[in-house]
Amino acid sequence: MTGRADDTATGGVVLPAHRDAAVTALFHAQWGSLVRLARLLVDDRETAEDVVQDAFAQLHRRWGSLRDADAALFYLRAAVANGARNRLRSRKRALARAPLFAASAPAADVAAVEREEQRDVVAGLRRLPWRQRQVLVLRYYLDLTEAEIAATLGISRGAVKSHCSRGIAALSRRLEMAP
Amino acid sequence: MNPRAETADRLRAALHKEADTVTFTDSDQAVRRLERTMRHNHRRTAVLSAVAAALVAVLVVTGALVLRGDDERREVPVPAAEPAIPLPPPGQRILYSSGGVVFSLDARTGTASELFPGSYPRWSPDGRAIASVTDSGEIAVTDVMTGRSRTVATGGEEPAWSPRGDRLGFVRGKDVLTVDLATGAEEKVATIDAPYVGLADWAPAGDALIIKLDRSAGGEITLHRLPTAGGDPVPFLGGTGDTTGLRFAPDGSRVAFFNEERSCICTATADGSDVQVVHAFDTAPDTAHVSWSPDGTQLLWTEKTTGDLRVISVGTRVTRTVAVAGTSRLSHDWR
Repeated sequence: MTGRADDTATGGVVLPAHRDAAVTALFHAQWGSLVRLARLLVDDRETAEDVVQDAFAQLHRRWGSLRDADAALFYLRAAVANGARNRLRSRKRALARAPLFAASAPAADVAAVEREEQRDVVAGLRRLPWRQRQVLVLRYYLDLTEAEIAATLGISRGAVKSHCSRGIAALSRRLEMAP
Repeated sequence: MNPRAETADRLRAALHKEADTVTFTDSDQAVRRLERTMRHNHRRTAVLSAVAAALVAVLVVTGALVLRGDDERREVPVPAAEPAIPLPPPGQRILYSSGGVVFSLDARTGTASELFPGSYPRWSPDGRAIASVTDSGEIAVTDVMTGRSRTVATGGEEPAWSPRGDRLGFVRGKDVLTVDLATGAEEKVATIDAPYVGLADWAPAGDALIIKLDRSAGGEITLHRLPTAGGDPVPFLGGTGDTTGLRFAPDGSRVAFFNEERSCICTATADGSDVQVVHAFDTAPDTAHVSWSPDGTQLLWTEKTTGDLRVISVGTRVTRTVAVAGTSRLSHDWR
């Protein structure tokens, strides 16, 4: 795989030709954003970091089969999205009753209200079926198109539309019911 | 404001605020863990290379003999002349789509060639044509001998050939349709009131389509048999939850499919009975596709987390990797 001089998809990183150096450069560029993505899909920081580390380990093993730098980022996002799902499946029961996010310290005024709103929305998201949650995070956090989400998750565009539509509908109902 | 749009706006704002609060290990510190992993990968590669080199001499002698016999057994009727598009030998012709491009791949060597833009590639029953979906959502048929493509329907997904190869079934929104390839006439089989409707395959007798429906609130896909002459869809395979990727075997005697509840690639008789687990997964398989080898002895599937294309012998349950991937291979077919 060859590097590119101006590549926003890889965080503007010029990827070196050597595999280890290229993966390391990509790691520095994407580590934070991928951990944030993983953190929205799993319930703790350690698991999120493990998912991203696993994704980079897989990327390193398959570096030679990637066509270009864009494919590397596509691969990483897909590996994080699917890796998060596999992690959650392995401890599904525990997660079913686990707290969604650590409670923030109580605070007064507008900031507290906003944090409450944020927590309600994210908690509602967390209670949706996994596929709907996955699609909504990719759509509304990464701002991926339906086609990009379909390619990332390996499902049809019709399925993306369906999950997105039903996810938003279910989330609306949950937020209406929220105290 | 529309309640859904309002929810979407609230969700977008909440996700970005939540992401901003995420703390994580410094990348310089985290990269040391990655470096250990990369060193481990290099050692593993070196060991595997040494083992592979030691086995080559044995495989060259015994493998060649076995594969030669295998080739003779797998021969299927195909055009005698050379195709205009790069294809492996008959019996080894895997098609797959990745990143909006259709590729051919040699089942024996793993060598891939880019064919044309598209997705959902499906071989015609006689192996002379490939149906696919273009970037703009058209159903196209490509003649392998001339390399020429023609649009046969607009706005559709997931084409499936009729057993005689004279029609294509496909899905457009909630409509399940067929198109006559000689006349271009479309016929609506049914309109299904479900959030997701997909097409898996055309039954070997030609009298029904196997469709995928999601009528639940949780993304659970079930299979139904839809008569082409009209009528209501009837649950197939007992309507077991989250079953996808169904394909009929070349001789029509069995079906292969993924089932989430059983975490398996399973087979069953064509009427949906006698379900057998061919391959059990450690973690539940995601929605994906499965394809039969032309002789019906092997099944091809995509490992969703890695994108690797893998094959399992239905008889011996022995698996092998056909090709490792860097991007996901969404759908495939084998002839």
